Amino acid sequence: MMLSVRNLNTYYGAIYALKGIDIDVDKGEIVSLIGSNGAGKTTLLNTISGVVKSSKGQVTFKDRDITNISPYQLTKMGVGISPEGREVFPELTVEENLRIGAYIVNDKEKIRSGYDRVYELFPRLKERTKQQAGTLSGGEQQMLAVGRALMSDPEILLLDEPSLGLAPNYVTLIFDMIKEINKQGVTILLIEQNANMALASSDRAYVIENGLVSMSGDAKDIANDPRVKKAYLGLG
Amino acid sequence: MLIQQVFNGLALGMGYALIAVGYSLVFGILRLVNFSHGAIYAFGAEMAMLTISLKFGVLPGILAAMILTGVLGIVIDKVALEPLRKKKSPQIASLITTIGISNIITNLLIVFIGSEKRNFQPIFSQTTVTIGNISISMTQIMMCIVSLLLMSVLMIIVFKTKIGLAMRACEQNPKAANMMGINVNFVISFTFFLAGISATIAGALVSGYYQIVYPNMGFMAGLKAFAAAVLGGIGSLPGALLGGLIVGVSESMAATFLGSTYRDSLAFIILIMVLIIRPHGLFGRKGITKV
Repeated sequence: MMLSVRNLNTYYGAIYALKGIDIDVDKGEIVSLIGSNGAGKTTLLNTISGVVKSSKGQVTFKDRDITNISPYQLTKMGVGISPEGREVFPELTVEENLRIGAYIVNDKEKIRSGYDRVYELFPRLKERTKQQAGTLSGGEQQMLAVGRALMSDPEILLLDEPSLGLAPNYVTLIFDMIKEINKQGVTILLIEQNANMALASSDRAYVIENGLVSMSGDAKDIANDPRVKKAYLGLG
Repeated sequence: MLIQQVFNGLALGMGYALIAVGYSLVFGILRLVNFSHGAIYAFGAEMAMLTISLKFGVLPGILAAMILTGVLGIVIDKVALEPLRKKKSPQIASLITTIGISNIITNLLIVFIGSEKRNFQPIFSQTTVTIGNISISMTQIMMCIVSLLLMSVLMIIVFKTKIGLAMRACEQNPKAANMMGINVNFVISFTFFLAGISATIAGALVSGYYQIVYPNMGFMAGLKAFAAAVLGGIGSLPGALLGGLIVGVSESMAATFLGSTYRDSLAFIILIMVLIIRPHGLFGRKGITKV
């Protein structure tokens, strides 16, 4: 397993947000976590990335214990993060934002090819290299957040709500790019409220409810489950 | 007379500007007014006095004092401020901590060095250049040159280097910077180090100018430099420079034309007037508190 989460427990302030979660992500997969608002999806991602500390349980990445590690150390190990709400640096240019994404990379050649890769995936960003990130549209900021996370050449990408608040054409584009990035060999753990798109793009999925995994399996099977159809896909 | 006072004020203002950048750098990254910065400035001047008296030469002495004071800045952050950040304490806790630290540093200086005013040897040659009826001392010219040089170096660090890019990223979004592999606490330490270095250079220049040094010298100078930083737009380096010069010139004017009793208040009158018209200062950005 590339990423394993075992019996993870996290308090978010006074709220018992994760009540013993187990998930696995294998190399090369796209795995999505779906669930309603407040189910604990973002807390799970924040606990994996060390932004929030867990009270119990373990997270391992390539057999190394990374429980409660500092986020900045995680980047060096090969984990890229595109956080909820995009969190770009508003007063830095697009290019500077990407340069920050490659902060841990010292090889000039590698940084160069990082820019090329991101600009190839998102040509829109190339047109805006000298523009301040705060002046970009929501969709462009989302591209930048994903591109920035790719600059460190990660083995796994953690994506938190990449489609949130985007126009439908951007949603399709972002999901196409996620599949493309996966084809380039990057494992992906995706958190989404847009269960339709997430399940259609993923290999496997976990349904998170009230801080617990309520269902897991192949994305296709999950998408066909009557309970999921009713609760998350607006069908049935 | 007027032009003479403008020159005197500019030289003094450079000193304020160098202290003001310390407030601006730390405020930029922590959104915190570091009220211990005036005491750090006094510490830098006292250390320069000590290290120069060791007779290794003026320049090595000041360099040693810069490093000592820079390290003091890092220690203040590591011992007193970083633990507060870890506990996500309210900003007011950090603010009162910096005021406490200010008093502790001043107190320790008095205990170990003594509270009396001591003679600080001139750093530059005592010659003066006379043009018409204006005379400018070598010290004043050198104060301007050294300050502008240091300002340029700081601007290059912040806008042209990798660590500077990290400083700006941490300033705008420390959480995201952390996720991108930036050790935010290291960047904060580096910022405190830069602030300490600038304060020491300011301390050595101003002490060399007045030829006097004492532990409480940072109190009024620190407040005026803080006023200069706010006047120019706190967080902005060019703002700190302009603010420092305005404070320096106004002080020099007030002392000459209104009498030395008005020396300390004119700078603050100007500050208040500017803030009423431009609440974010001359170079301040509106969005700065939003990010």
